[in-house]
Amino acid sequence: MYNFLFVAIGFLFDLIVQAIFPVDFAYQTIFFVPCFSFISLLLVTRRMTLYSSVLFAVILGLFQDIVSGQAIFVYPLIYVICVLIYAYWSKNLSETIFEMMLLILVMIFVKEILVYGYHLMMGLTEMFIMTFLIKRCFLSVVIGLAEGLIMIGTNYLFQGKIDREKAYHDQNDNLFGHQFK
Amino acid sequence: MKLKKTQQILLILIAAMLALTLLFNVTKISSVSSGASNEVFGFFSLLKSSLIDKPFNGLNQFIYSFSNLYQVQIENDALRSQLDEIASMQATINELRRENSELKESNSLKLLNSEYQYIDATVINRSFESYQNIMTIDAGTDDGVFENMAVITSKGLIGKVQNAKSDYAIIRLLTTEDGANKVSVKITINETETADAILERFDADRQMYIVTLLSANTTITKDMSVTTSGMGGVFPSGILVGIVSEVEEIPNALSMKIYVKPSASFSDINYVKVVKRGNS
Repeated sequence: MYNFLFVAIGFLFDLIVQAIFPVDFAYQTIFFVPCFSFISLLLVTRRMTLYSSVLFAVILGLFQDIVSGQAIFVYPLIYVICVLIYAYWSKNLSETIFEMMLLILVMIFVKEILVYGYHLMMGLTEMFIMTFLIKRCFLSVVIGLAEGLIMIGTNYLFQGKIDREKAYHDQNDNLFGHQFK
Repeated sequence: MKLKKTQQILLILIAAMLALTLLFNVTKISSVSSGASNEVFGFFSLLKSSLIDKPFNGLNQFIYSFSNLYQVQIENDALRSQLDEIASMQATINELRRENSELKESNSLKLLNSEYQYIDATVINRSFESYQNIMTIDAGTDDGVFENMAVITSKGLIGKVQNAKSDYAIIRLLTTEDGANKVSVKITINETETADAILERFDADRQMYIVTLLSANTTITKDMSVTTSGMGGVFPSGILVGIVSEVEEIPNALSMKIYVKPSASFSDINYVKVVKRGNS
């Protein structure tokens, strides 16, 4: 429940940022794509099993497809690949904020490259990779720094609440649960 | 970690669906899912507009207006001085309209390519995915908006209606790069001469439209204006598209490649007009 709520908050942040900073369809200015929901997906799935992570990625990807007006199953595919890569890389890293931020920035870059690659393959864009990197990817990764910090902070608040509740239930079970079994 | 049988089946199903989707998208087979996706996208646009966009845009507007009060005063003073000219311009326009209808009647013309009406609309959602180039507006078939109608801003043509429902419509912008949004245009060479051309697609690297000339023996230079020609029956004529920025000769070919800088801005579109052909 808390995982869905956390991702929903990320999604809400995305919608708010999109309303304030719309994308430039003509690429005349540098713009960024908000990634709050994507970062929340990564933070949530790092504590899940691989199977749960893939399911979660598919569900969020389907929702993202609807929001962006894409054909169905574009973002599920991209999110599943990102979650698998993240799960593999995060095994070698600890949970310090610096390492989490580094991994999040790299994953934002990977996601953008996958989205660009998909649209290039489908013929929906013929943009050179340098134009893509300068006009869209660069600022998305830079802004991802701030987005990552916000979502990590929010996650710690959530996770702290979950851990306190879990400790409370564990304590109560030890006191009362066993004698009635 | 060993997966249960149901989990294995579910994972296989997901992998199969993703693979099929990729295959259909590569081979460009359209499916029911894209139609359903449009319906849900339209509904989501309405919801997002009322819950998120309106409050935050309102706040944005307030802050912007407050910080630009002095600039607004200067603009108001300039506009007031232009108001006196409007009365005489209106009289000239009325006279031209009268002459136009008399000429049409004498030549037995029912409709000219340049006759159109506007339907005002507000943008309620724009796709955050810049590759999609679609927006949703709050006018639909109930307001007289139908598919393939041209959509403009105060500065020029921006796209056409892709899908229209009763109270909203989805616009496909001219900045699509897949070449599926061709427009028949004309380049104004001088007051009496124009050259027909086709707007092929948008070039994201140069941020300009690519226009191909239909006739070989025409000299096109920079800063010529490009407007819709009205041929093809989709867009009315006379709508500004852009200004010629570069002309590139194609080796071993009769035609030339013309790069046109769009007159409209695509970064922040809030209000649009849907162009309806005819004068009724």
